[in-house]
Amino acid sequence: MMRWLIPLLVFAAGLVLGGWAALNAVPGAIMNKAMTRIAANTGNDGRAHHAPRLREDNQTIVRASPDILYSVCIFNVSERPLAIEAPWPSDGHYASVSFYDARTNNFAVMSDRDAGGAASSHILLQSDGEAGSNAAYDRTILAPTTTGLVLYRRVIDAETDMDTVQAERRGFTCTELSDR
Amino acid sequence: MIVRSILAGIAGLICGAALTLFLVFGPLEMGGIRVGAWQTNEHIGASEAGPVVRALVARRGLLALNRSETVYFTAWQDDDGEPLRETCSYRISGEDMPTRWWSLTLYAEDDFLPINGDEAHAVTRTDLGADAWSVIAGPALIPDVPWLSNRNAGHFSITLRLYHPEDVVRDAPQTLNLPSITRLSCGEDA
Repeated sequence: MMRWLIPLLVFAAGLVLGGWAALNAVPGAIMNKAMTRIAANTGNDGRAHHAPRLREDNQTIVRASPDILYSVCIFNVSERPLAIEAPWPSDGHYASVSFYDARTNNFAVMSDRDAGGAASSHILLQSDGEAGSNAAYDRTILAPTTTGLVLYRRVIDAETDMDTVQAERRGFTCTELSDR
Repeated sequence: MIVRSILAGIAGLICGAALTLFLVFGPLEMGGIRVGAWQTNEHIGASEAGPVVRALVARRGLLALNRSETVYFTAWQDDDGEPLRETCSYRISGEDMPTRWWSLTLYAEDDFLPINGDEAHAVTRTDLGADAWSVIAGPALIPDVPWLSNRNAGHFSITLRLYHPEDVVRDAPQTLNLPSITRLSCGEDA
């Protein structure tokens, strides 16, 4: 009986271990694929890419919203922090900047409401090991992984003046500090 | 027996990984709180989400916001518990909700907007107003009625996004009066 019992127990242990490893690998793999796809359009230099309004023929991410304009930058703060300028809508609509690490965690977010009526906010994103806040910025955020995504969302609706909105959101910029 | 055990271990690892990938990319659903036809999971976008929810969110809702910003409810079924189908028409009706702004978006079975050329994928609070409202989700436009097109959507779903929700949305979602989804009629393949 032991002849089969031990291999059976080893098989069961392998089953659990393999399942656990795959489960933990999925988010990172999907995020990596998404970042690669975005980098193919934007380059990998940390600069912002302003995606066109979502239509059925230009979708790249599941369950994106056609009522949101998206801008994105891919970050790698292993060597240089990233400075982010986020403009807030003049028409009072919702907008936010959200930060995702390499495992899909939304580790920080700042919205127009947090900005307290300011026209824009300056945000510094740096790696977890860096020093704390920098007074030159409205907010300093520490990234738990050195790579990830910054996503700017801006609500649009039937009453939105698209020319104005497109001009406004181009004020969303990401700049690696050594570029300055 | 050592060789047999090593082979069994390798087979276990492969089977475990394969089974997990099959479940995550197949039938496994996110679970969570159900409110009428709608479902939400409090761990969407949260750093403390467990590995199962994290994997499912990565597959079905990558780059979701955390709940302080947006709460997502998704319906895969109508009020009677029947799966939403492209061959049926539905009335979605409700009233204003305790949030800054909201939208309803229809997604096809593959979690992307359906490819149908109708340009009727979403409606918002701006379109429907702050009073009682109703929308038809169906394969054909009815004049003067707000419309979500489910043509070419297969077994579709509808996602309700509540932006900057009031505390009650996060703390007591079961008490919310979310939109009803009533099946009106079905076509040949229903």
